[in-house]
Amino acid sequence: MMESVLFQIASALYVAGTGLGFVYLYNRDERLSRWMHNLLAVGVVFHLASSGIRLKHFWDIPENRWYLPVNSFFGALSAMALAITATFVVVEGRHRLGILGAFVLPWACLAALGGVFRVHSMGDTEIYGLAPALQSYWMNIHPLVIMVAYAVFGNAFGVGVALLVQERQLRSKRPQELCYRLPSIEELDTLNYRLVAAGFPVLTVGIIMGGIWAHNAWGRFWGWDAKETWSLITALVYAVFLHQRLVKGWRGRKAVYTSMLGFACVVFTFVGVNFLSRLHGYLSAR
Amino acid sequence: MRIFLSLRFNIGLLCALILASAAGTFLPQSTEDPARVEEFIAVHPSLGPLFRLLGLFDLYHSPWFLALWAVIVLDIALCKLSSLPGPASDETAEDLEEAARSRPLSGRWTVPDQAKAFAAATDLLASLGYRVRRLATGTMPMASSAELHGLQAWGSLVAHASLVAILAGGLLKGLFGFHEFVAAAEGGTAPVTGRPGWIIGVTDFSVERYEDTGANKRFTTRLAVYEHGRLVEEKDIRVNDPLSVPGLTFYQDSWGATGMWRSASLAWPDRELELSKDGPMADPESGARFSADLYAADFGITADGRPDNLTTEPRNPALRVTESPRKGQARTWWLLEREPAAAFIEDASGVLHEAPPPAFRLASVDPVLFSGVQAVHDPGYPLVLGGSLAWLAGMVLNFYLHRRRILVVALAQPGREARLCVGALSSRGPAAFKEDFDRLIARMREVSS
Amino acid sequence: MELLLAGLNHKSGVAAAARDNLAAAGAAEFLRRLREAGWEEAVVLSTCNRLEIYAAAAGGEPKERLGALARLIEAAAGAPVGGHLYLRSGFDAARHLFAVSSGLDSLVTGENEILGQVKSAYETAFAARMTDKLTNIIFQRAIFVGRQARADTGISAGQLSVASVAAALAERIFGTLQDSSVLILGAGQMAEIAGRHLLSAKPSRLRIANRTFERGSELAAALSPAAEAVRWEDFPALLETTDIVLASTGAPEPVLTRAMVESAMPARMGRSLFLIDIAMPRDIEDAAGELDHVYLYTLADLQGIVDENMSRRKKEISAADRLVEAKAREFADWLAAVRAGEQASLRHHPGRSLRRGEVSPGGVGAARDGEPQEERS
Repeated sequence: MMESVLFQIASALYVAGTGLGFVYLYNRDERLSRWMHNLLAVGVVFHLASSGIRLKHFWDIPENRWYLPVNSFFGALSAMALAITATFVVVEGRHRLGILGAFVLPWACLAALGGVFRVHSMGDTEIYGLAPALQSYWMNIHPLVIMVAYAVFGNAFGVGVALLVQERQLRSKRPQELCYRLPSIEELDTLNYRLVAAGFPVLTVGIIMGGIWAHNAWGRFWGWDAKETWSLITALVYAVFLHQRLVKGWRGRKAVYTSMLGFACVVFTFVGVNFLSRLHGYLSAR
Repeated sequence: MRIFLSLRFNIGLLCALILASAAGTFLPQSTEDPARVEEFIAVHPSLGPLFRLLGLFDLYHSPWFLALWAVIVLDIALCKLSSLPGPASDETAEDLEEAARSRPLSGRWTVPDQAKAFAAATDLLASLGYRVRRLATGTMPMASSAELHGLQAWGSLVAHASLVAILAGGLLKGLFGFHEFVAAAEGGTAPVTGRPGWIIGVTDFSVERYEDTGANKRFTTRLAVYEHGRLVEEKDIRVNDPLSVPGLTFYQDSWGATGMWRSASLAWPDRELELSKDGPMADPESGARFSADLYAADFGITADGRPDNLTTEPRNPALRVTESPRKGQARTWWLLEREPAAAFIEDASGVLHEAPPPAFRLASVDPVLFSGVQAVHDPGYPLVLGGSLAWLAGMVLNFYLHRRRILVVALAQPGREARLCVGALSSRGPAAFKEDFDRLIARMREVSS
Repeated sequence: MELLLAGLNHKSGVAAAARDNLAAAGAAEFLRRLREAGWEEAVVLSTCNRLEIYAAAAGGEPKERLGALARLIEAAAGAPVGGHLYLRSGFDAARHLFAVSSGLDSLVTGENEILGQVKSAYETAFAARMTDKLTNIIFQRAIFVGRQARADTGISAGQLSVASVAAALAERIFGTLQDSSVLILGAGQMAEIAGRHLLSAKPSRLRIANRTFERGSELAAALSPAAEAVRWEDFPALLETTDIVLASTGAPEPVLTRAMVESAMPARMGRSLFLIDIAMPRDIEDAAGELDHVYLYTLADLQGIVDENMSRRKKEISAADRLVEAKAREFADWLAAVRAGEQASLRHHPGRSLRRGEVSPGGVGAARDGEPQEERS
């Protein structure tokens, strides 16, 4: 109960912070950015408190002890929202990129609101005992690594959107004030690349870890399960991006399209595949 | 040959792989659910057979999909062999000074003495950990190429090679390995058909469930493995905790109920009767005799009214009980453990009829369970594991190491002041190296004057 | 205690000779004369467009004391300027000072240099030991208000010259110009002005291509030792290693064609290319700007942005006025409270952080070359 209340407060704070992020796009008042940062930081604190309670309840089931509570859709959404927001708060705090909030934070909001929706449709925060296959130390590694990669890609996507906006601004020959507030084309392009380049190894290593886990649990490294397949597709799309960028020197708009397609695959792998996959289906509720 | 090296072709290959893989997740696959494949063909009578011809219902093992992988491997090999890491092209340029200045980061300043300044600058780089290589230019100009974290250049090669290794591991499994589902009832045995002479025995099987959701908590098989009658090994196996013997590993896969039962009892409002597997048991009160034969874990009725077992999970356990009263005809009942109010009578032709419940009900039934085990021989796995580690190494090298290459050129043309020109490349782009480079240049200016 | 102001500015219509005399006198000289005349607390803001004396009157009728200040100015001007002087006290004086530091009283609304000038006027007075409680507070306050007005309203947003707009756009593309190399086509006057402006952003390289090489070399030598002249026929090849092209030749036909840019792009590996065409008739084919990663701005585009910035600043004046008014009211209330003998302190926010790209405390008014600045001393 307490867990879901705290989680909903955190979600509301995220949404409010994101709203400020949007206002800040068009209003140069620095207080907006500061308040956005503060709201998010407080939201993260509430979220951590909520997660602490979740962990306690989760560990009350002896089989779950020491494992992360991400075996349900709510758990995954909550962890995702926390990962994106915390990443943003840290990065924003250090590099003063508050202007990117409006581009990155909507994903954290979507994940958090998805969690809220899930709480209301399921009536609880989905604390289940772990299925036998999930009772492995890999449970603390494989989902976590993959989620870190997803959070990084979410940030890259936001940066990509900012780049498209900035490019439009400059092409219009009549740049609005927004143009002067956003980082430059080259900075955004570099940031987009650096984020993907940081996330790609994490994603692929996470997928491989999943393969090793599957080998330990079921005797096969790869089984073409829908989630496995879509994670491979995600990795391949980002591989295409990296090849375009590193070998062919694609930058700017065209490269960003590929990176955005990659994130679309991430979202599909995270949500859509639940309807296709038997082994990884949060929504098929096993 | 050329086409393989073009990036357009490479990206085309990746896109083909992406599209094919995606298609497989939307089409029913016979390896996952053969029934749905049949259903699909029934719904799409014209497309279905075409898809079957194209292998789309077992897409990931179809010849053309495997061929796609083969082309990718060939492509990786050709691309990587044709471009092994080497010196930057501008290091062989005619005008080295211009080459240095054209690099994204560069600096130039005059120095009192060409040779001394050059030596000081290259010594500084060497002291900072750079690997300094003198370029063969004679004395005019003097030039060196310095490199830090040069291993980064190998990252891409390592990563691509590891990918090939992982794929080769998969191929080895496909060619020389096998993957077989073996199920044995509690106390029973079953042969491993892929390994003639090998037999597994399920000495014991137990399953625990979560009370709130009824989901599986843990299931454990006491598994014994025999080779030509000799016990090789015996161990409790669970999901995530397999049993390995040389050349073969046994993974706990699934479990379920067989059609057999171990113990069962009937109950009247005032008494109970324990049934026996060996023969009919008499009810002392009425004198009727009761026997039971078939167990259904998940009882259902077919469209033509016959009994059916829907799954092997005990969702709706039922038992077929024959009642032989002292006088009159024997009757064959299907009794449901969880729904005492419902009962069916099976007639001689095997058709069910709903009937008012009898005076007795099925009090309990304990089925004989089976344990499903995957017997796997995977000679490619070490290669896959090694490839995975190499991939990790390749990724770290390629994306997390920051390689810097610095070209130092010292010139002394007659009539002009001697000067030093320095240009730098960074694997992360100029912005990431800018600050360090500026600091480096400042120190270099200091030591070279 | 009362704050007094006597001053003249560009709107005052004073004869040129008198203005020259005042400018020649300088702040230090005025401070000396003020001290001689018995003033103990005064700050003199002297720029080529204004001369203002802010003084604290410890006693006496404000009107009388203002008269004394007016006579002092007239003496220095060497001509009768009395009718043109504005004489203010209290709230009005504070409001005027805040408006000045905010750039609202400048020819070019919101220009930055005046803030630096206010600051140095205060520092000069401080060094001459001519400041005390009242002047310390009002001037520190004025500098703060000036910054706040620029940060919170758009009165100083946007550049107001073609060259500075071009440089600002270049920064929107490349971040910093320090890693960018510039190629100037042509060696005329416009090329020189724009070249100077771009040089102030310290590009990594600046090359000049002119049809007559000698003229290009001359311009390169005149601009900076780091500038290089290159041969005209080499310039298409240089597009591969150039980030910003500034074209300003007198050629009747475009000299930079789409085909040239197109063939240079692959070697650029996707790095953006910024083409600035300030020539009349045009030097760069319009079609070149349609290529990916190429941004083409013409003189008309840049002038359009300048005009837009100008009108945008004007629209922000009322917002800044309100701010100035409120802050002046705050100050006047404080002054009244002090006068009433109460101990009150002016609410001050020293911790307010500066925004990136904004004037820093040490560099107030470090305006870019080429930006039209009214108050050049």
